[in-house]
Formats: sequence, structure tokens, C-alpha cells
Amino acid sequence: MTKAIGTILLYVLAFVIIVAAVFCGIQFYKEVRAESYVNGSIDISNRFSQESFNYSATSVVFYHDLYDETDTYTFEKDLLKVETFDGSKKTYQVQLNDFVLLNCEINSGSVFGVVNIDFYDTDGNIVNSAVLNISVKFLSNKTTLTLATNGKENASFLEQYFSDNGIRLKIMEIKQEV
Amino acid sequence: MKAIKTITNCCLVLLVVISICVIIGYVYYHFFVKDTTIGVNNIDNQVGMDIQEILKDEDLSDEEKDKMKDRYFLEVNYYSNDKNNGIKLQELKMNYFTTFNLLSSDYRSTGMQYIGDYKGLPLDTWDGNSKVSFLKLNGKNDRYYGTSKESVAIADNYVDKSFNYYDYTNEINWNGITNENGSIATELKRTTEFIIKIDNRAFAISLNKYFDRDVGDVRNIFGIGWKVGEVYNRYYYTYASLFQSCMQAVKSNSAGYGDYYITVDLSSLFSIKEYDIESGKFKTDNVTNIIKTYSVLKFHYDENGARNSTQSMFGIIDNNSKYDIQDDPIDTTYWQERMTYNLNYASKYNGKDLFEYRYSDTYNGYFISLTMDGKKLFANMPRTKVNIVIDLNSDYFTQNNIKIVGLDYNAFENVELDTLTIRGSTDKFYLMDKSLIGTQLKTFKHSKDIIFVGLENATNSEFVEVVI
Repeated sequence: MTKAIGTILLYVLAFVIIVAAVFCGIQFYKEVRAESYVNGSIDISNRFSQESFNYSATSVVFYHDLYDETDTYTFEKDLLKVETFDGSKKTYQVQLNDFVLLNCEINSGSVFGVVNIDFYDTDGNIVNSAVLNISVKFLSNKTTLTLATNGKENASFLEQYFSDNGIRLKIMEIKQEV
Repeated sequence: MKAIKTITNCCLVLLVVISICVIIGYVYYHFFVKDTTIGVNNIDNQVGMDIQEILKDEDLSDEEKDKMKDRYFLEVNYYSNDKNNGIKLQELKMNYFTTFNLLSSDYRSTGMQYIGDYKGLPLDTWDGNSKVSFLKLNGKNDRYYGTSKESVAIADNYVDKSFNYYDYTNEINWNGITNENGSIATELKRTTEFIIKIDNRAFAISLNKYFDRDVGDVRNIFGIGWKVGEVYNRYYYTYASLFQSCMQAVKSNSAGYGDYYITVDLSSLFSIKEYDIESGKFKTDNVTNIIKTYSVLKFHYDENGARNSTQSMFGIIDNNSKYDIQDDPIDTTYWQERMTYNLNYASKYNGKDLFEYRYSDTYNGYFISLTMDGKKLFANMPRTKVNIVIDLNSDYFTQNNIKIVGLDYNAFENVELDTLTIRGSTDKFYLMDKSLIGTQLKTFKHSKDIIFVGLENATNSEFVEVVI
């Protein structure tokens, strides 16, 4: 009787060991076969410079320096550096939204332009005439964009204009035809 | 029969021996080899699969393509107000999909906004009454707090009320979370799962991780305390944790103020699993011990303070789309704008003179006109207001021996002019046929001594004549 119970216990033990081995075997197989993997890739290397100047945004907000007595309102922005700009050797065209800016002062590493915008009311009368000064400086580590106007009213109308239309400022190289 | 029994027993013994070997091998490999397999998920742009086809269209401008491509899982907008000219504003937005199809029609974004400098802590659901013990292999039982069902439920349903939350669909941002009436917006809870795109495949990502900290099992008698063991409290990460981590990353970036992209490790906060389209279920990953998840974070960091709601990435500040800190806003209502061009001899277009001059032996002088490029330029620009000044006595004309005697044939034809000014001294100024035709000239200013010849054939506009 004792021998029979011992035999049964042995068989049960063997069964448990085999079942455990199956479980361990599966896990063992998975762990040994497990491989490193990579899903997707990230490339932001091209986000540190740009070929030509291009700035766009949905709005512009002008700030007035409390210590500035000239009533100047400015919008300043640091942008990615531009490697290829050379105003002394190349010809450039400056565009603000749908408008090509004429008479821009283009130097070796900077661009200055003046924009005159008249705002009309529903009767066709001018309600505001704003002058916007645009300055872009191409520095070794960044590009700085400055928009400036004089007076709070002009700044408010320009903010409204950019809020309605967004801002798209481009400086593009013009390849001269041979 | 006995032989069969013997063979069976031998096989069984052999099987048991092999099993023991397998178990030993597994235990050794699992507990001593410690072969950690690392998988990596890189969360790049979240541009819809359909947009990727559209981007191949050559008719699209680079600007349009850039705008379409610029969609990342995490975006931060941070106005630090270091110049003390506005308010401190911190914003975080997550861009994701609503279905596993990963199309642009499934775009949705959810974001959080904090006015000020957020300084929060991971969620502490301390429940001193629930002492859940976990058995450690070394036989020591550590006690954990904050792991009861109640604690987990609190953590899973927690939404930090110190933020404003906004959803974005179809170009519009809105806040659909209210405290009393339920929510029609996406709530940023630990159980919230976002569908994102990795390697053009669908994954679900959820912020559901936590960490345990030993708060010490301390005994105290008559003011004398001593630690008798380890007691852990479980702290749950929430979206506020992500918010603060992102702001910290932006604030400490070496490039300073501006618009940049960084790659952040989300592994300690997020769990991620892949969606299997064939089975319609998420794949469970039981072979990878650690999955590192990296994601691009696009940020705008500004030294100014925010002044009005247009500076918010949601177009809303404090649930107000008209938010403005100015006390006396100016009425800027207008109908249309006109870009004013004041042209003269010095005006250039693409580096070339905008005006050209034709010499006439008959009239013994030059006729001026706008170049063809100039005419095309103004024909393509809407809403311009062009003023032209021709100063006959200017230094430029004198130094270059250019004696202007009139406007050439079709000189400004079909270029919309507001004001034409001709000043200086000359006897006669010739306006050749159609020189001002189709210009809709409004004001014609000129010096009083100039006699204009051919005006009747030059224009079809009614204008105001002003003598200067």
C-alpha cells in the first residue's frame, strides 16, 4: 500500500516537473529568442538651419519697451541660422504675404525693408496708415527678425492685419538669367 | 508487458531529467544571465498616411509641404515673461489620431494650459489604512501604501483642475470639460489611450506609470524614533507630471529662446503597445523587459510674456478667445488694406531698374515707362496702391543726362495708380497714346509751369488734378 502511494506520488511529481518544464521551456525560448527592435525613426537634424529665409506664423504681437521713449513697438524673433545668404554677391527678392517688397536695403548679412499699409473703412476712407520696418539679420548662430512700427494704433492695426492674414515673410535668391 | 512498463518508466525518467535540465536552464538564464532586451519606439511626425501621398505632389509649395509635415506628438508653447511685459503662459499639446486608420481626417489634439509657472508633484494617493504586502524573494515583506483599489481608482480618474484643457478638431480649439455637467472633451487621465503613428503603424500610448518611494517604517517612543523597516508609498504620474517635465526641458535648453525640436524619453511615464490590424487587438509584449520610447518635442520658448490670445497655441487664454491684457484696446475694425508702393527713379525689382527710358530724336529727350517685369509684378499683386513720382530735376536724371520729355506709349497701361506726381521745370511734357490707359488714376499732381500735351489720348480715367 505504502509502495503504491509512493509510486503515485512519484508519478504526480514527474507530471508536475514535466508541466513546469514545458512552461519554463516556452519562457526560455521566448527570452533567448527575444530581439531588440526599433520602431520608426526620428530625424530632426535638418531643423538647425535652413537654405533660404522663410518665416510664417498665424499672428504677430508687438511689444513696447517701458523704458523706450520713442513710442516704438517691436516684434522680435530668433530663428534658425541661414548658411547661404550673401547679399553682396547674390540678388534676393523679399516677399511679405502676397506682396513683393521693393527698395529693400540688402547688405552682406542683413535685409531691411519698409512697408506702408493703408487700412480703409467700409466707406472707403483711410482709418489708419501704418509703416512697418522689417529687419532680418543673418548671424553666425541664428537669424534675427525684427518688425517695428511707431505708435500703439499702428501696432494694433498691424496686429489685426496679421491676425486676419497670418504672416509669411520670405527672402528668396533670384537666379539671374545668363 | 513488463518490458513495456520498464521502457515507459525509463522514458518518463528521461523526460523528468530533461525537464529538470530545462527548468535549471531557465532559472539560471532568467535570474543570473539577466539578458535584458531593449526595444525602441521612435515617435516621429504624426502626419496622416493620406497626407504622405499628397506631399509627393509637385504643385505644392515648400511652405505648404512644411505646414503639412509639421505635426508632432508633443508641442510646447512657453512664454516665460522674463521681460515682464505680459503673463507667464505654459502650454502643452498632444497630437494624435482617433482611429487606427491614421488618416488626416482622424486628426485630433488635446492640450493643457497653465497661467504661471507650474510646480506640481506626482499624485500621492496615501491610504494609510490599506497595507498591501508583496512577497519578496529574499523573504522580506515590504509594505506598500497607495496600492489599494481605491487608490488606483483615484489615480486613474484624476484630472488636475489647475489647468485649462482644450481639444482641437477641424481647425478649432475648444474646452469641453466642465466640472458639473460631465465632459465632451478628451480628459487627460491615466487611463486615456492615444492612438499615434510609429513607422506608419498604429500604437496606443497611455500615461500609466508610477514609482515607489520608501517612506520608512518608523517606531516612536517618547519622541525617540527609529526605523524598523521599509514602507513604500506609491506615487502616480499624471499628465501634470508630463507637463512639468516638458516645461523643465524647454526652460533648460541650451539654445535659449526660439523655436526648436528636441527628442525626449517618455519611457518612465508612458506605456505603449502596438495595434494588430489583423486580429483587431493590441499586441502584448512579454519578451521585452524595457521599451524605450523617444518622441520629438517641438517647442516655442519666448522671453516675452503672453499679451493676448493669439499667442496661445490654442488661440485661447483662460477659456477666453478674446483675452488681452491691454486695458484700453484700440478699435481696429477695417474693411480692406492696401499695400502702398511709392515708386521713383531709384525703384528696383530683382536688382533691376523698375523704369526704362527710350530716347527720341524727334522730341530730343527720353520717354519714361514701367518695364514689362514691373507691369507683370503689379498685375499679380492684389490690393496695391501705387504712387509714382517723376522729378524732372532730380540729381539722378541730371547726372546721367536723362532729359525726360514725357510718358512713353503704354507707359503705365493697366497698372492701377493712385497718384502720379510730375514735378520740375519743363515747357512741354508729352503724354503718348495710352500711356495712362486702364490705370484708374485718382490724383494727378504736377508743377504749375508744365504744359501737358496729348492728355486726351493718354488716359480713360477721371482724376483729380492738383497743381503743386
